[in-house]
Amino acid sequence: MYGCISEGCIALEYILYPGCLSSTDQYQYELSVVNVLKSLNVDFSYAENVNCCGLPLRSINSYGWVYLSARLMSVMESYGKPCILLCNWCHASLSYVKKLLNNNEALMSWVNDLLAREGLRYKGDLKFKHIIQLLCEDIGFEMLRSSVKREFKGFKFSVHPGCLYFRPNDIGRPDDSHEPRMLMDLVKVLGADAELCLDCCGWAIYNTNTSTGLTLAGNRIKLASKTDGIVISCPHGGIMMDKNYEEACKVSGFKGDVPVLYYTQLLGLAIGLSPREVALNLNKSPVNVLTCKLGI
Amino acid sequence: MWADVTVLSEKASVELVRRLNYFPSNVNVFACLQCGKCTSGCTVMVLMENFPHKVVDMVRLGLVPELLKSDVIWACTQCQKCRDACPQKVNPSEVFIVLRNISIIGGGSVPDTYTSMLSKVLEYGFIQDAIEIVGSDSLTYDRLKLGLSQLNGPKDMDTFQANCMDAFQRGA
Repeated sequence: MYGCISEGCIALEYILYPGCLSSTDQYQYELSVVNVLKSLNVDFSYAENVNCCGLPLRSINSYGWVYLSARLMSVMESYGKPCILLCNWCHASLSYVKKLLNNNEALMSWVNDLLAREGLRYKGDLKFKHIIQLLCEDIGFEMLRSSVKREFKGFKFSVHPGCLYFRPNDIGRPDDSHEPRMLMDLVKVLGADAELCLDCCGWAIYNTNTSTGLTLAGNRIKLASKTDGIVISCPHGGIMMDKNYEEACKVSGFKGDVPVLYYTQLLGLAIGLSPREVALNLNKSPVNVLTCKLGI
Repeated sequence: MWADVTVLSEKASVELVRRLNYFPSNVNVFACLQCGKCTSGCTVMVLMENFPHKVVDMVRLGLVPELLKSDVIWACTQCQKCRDACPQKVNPSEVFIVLRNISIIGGGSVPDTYTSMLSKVLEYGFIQDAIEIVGSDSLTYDRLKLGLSQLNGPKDMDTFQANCMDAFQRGA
């Protein structure tokens, strides 16, 4: 089972790197993470002098990607604290580049030559966790369960961990590649029922083919039509299924109300935060359906 | 020993097949059994008629120039299902990435969204600048109004940009 730190004893301090999309667009994710961490008494500070992990740009040049991820890791290493990531892409990117650099001296010395121009050096000892991993492993289910003030009894959510949280297996992912359970367990701990969906939100193809991306997102939303909403944990899913909700539903011919929200927004509501404190007013999908059911 | 399959195509370019190794990404097209597991699970197979096992086959037949001219190399959403499904660790999703990289290094066009993201990274360090969002209450929000700290991009932007330019042009 996952590790657990008993209530009030979280000794660790973290640095937070929200990533491009959470900090420039999906503010409801960053804000709900910040307020949830504060409520759970987790100490953290923002990482400074940071940059995009580079994975979205990997299609242009893989060396560019390696440089950006290595730079990000070298900056965060200098804090000497574990790092919290919010984005599946960031987490996959750092995991992958860490593995590549550890196994390739030529690549390592090339990137360190570039980093040296900024007085940086990649050592390879950064510890980083996705917020979902942190909630499961460092905070633990007992503490979460004891913090719940508003249970989601009778609710059923469609759980969407997002591709890169559990794939590809060979770079080392936090969760099982065939049956990821972390996000499922985290939803269940709030009293709700959960069903798993491993589909792709379509963000990467949306960049080159808008209608295909929207169709994938719309089809994914349609799959959740009999649930109380889709629970996500990656800003790419947020862009495709929440921000593009209306367009995606239109393209795939779906008419219906499926709230799409981040797990940290759901958790925030469960531990007693107000809809405003988890920034539900920034969601574009019909999250009011959910708050109405909750009577808040 | 294996026959040199590249002779199967007059247009085959051994050099281009070799260039698949321009980046150390464990692409292993010659191990492919053509079982089709990658294609059967492909997120965009139906929508975009992408058949990853055929792309892998074309690469080992030396038909890289044909692929570089085709839109199929951009018809992949990088969901990594094929990579996990492959019994031979061929790594089809990486094949798509490497083909895109080779295409661009060789002077092929970069899709607009990627050009825009790269220019934002050079300007701010992130793939886009912080945008304003209109909430369901019809009010406009930005980081400041939400009480979030300012973006913390690279401090030495000149060196960061120069390094990006070097790294993103490697191989060209």
